[in-house]
Amino acid sequence: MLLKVLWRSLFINTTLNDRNLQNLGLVYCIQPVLKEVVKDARMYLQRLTSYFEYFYSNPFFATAILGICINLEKKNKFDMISKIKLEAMSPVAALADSLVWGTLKPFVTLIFGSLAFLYLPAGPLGFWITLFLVTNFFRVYNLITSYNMGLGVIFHLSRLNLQQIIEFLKRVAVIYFGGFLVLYFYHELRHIPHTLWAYQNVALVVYFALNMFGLARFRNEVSFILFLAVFAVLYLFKT
Amino acid sequence: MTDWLLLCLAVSIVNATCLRWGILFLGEPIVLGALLGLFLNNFTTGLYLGGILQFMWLKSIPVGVKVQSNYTVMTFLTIMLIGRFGERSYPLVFAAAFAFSFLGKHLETLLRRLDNILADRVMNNIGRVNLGLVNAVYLAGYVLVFAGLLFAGLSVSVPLVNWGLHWLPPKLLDAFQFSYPYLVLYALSLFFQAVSLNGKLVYFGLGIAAGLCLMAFNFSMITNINVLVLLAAALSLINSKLVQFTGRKNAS
Repeated sequence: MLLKVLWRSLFINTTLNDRNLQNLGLVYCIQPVLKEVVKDARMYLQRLTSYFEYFYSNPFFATAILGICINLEKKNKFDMISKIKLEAMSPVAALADSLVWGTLKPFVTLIFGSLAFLYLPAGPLGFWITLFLVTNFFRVYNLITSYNMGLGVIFHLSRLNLQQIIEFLKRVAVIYFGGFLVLYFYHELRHIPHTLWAYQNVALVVYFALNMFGLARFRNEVSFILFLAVFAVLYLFKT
Repeated sequence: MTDWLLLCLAVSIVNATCLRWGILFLGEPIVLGALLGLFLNNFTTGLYLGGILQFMWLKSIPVGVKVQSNYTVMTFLTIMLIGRFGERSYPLVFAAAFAFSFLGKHLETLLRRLDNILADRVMNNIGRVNLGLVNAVYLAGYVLVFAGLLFAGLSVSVPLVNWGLHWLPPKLLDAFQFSYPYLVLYALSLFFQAVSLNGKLVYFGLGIAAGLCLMAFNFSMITNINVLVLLAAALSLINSKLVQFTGRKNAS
């Protein structure tokens, strides 16, 4: 049954709608559990309909809430489910979004993206394998742990010190970023003829300063136009 | 034409795995770029542009009701068009690809509105509806809609970029060619925008110092990168321990 729920959890975003978000996905995931636990047809429909209310969480950590729901359904404590689901989904989503989208993805992008700039196939391969394995590990781990622990999983998740891991990864990323910038300049850009260096240095410094510190709120498109303006105009001016 | 249609269909399936089915990271620009590079026999271009676009869309994350521009559409169009027209065409290609990725965003918004109707219908007939079938049909429709967008993107962008290349002065195109290798710097500077640096400038300085030290050893770039990752992890770990130690001392 858990395997069925795990497979169905891949579809949690399929019918994502902007009114109740993942509600249809959640109903699809919980359906096999209710079929097994609730034998009365009328009661089954009633239980299933109760899952149609608003639901949204991180797709990889939503399995934690699913596991709690399954645990409570099996214990016939279904009067608590709605309240716990609504109370748990936002903190779990906040923690998971910060970990997966706010830290893990930028970290993996920086490490393996920098390899792609050096034309190494390890870049995309490492990127995909790392993210795929880590996120799916969370998916499986959360479902199994929350199914076994029930409500205790919330305490368990808070004890994992995910905040410390997030901070650690962010520090590693920033240190690596500083080092990579220096090494990239040294290794990849030193073959440029000496006469060009003056123009390029000006362009690089102006562009970096503007983009990093002054225009941090700008959209990608604006940053790109700025990039073109700095480099192309300097080139035209030079020739 | 058939090749294009099949390719659009394949990329559209990959696009569906980005948000609607599983979030499998196959449609991320760096992965899709490498795959398209292999398909076009131009692996280095695929890798390079995939890396650039990955940094470019670092802030694009599927959270809640927020709909982001579709980076899979942008990656597909960028790599296909630059593979065809060459490096000097990249600003024109980016402009066309930006426009279609924006269109992809609006298409996604529209589909979510349609999902509201679908959700209501399913809720009213829950006893009779096969949710597995609903998901399968929905995913198939989603794939077809985006395959159409990708095909339209290719069909419209190719003549547009071609026309732009004839219309723009050669000197400007040379300037574009000149700036192409520096797109890496554009991409790297976007990392600052995606990751908040509040209170982390000291670590950035540490990283620069580590990079300068490694420069002195004159290792190859690959060795340098491996050493740098280890060094960054070690420095960060030392910092955590120091913070813990001083924290305990202050508390006592």
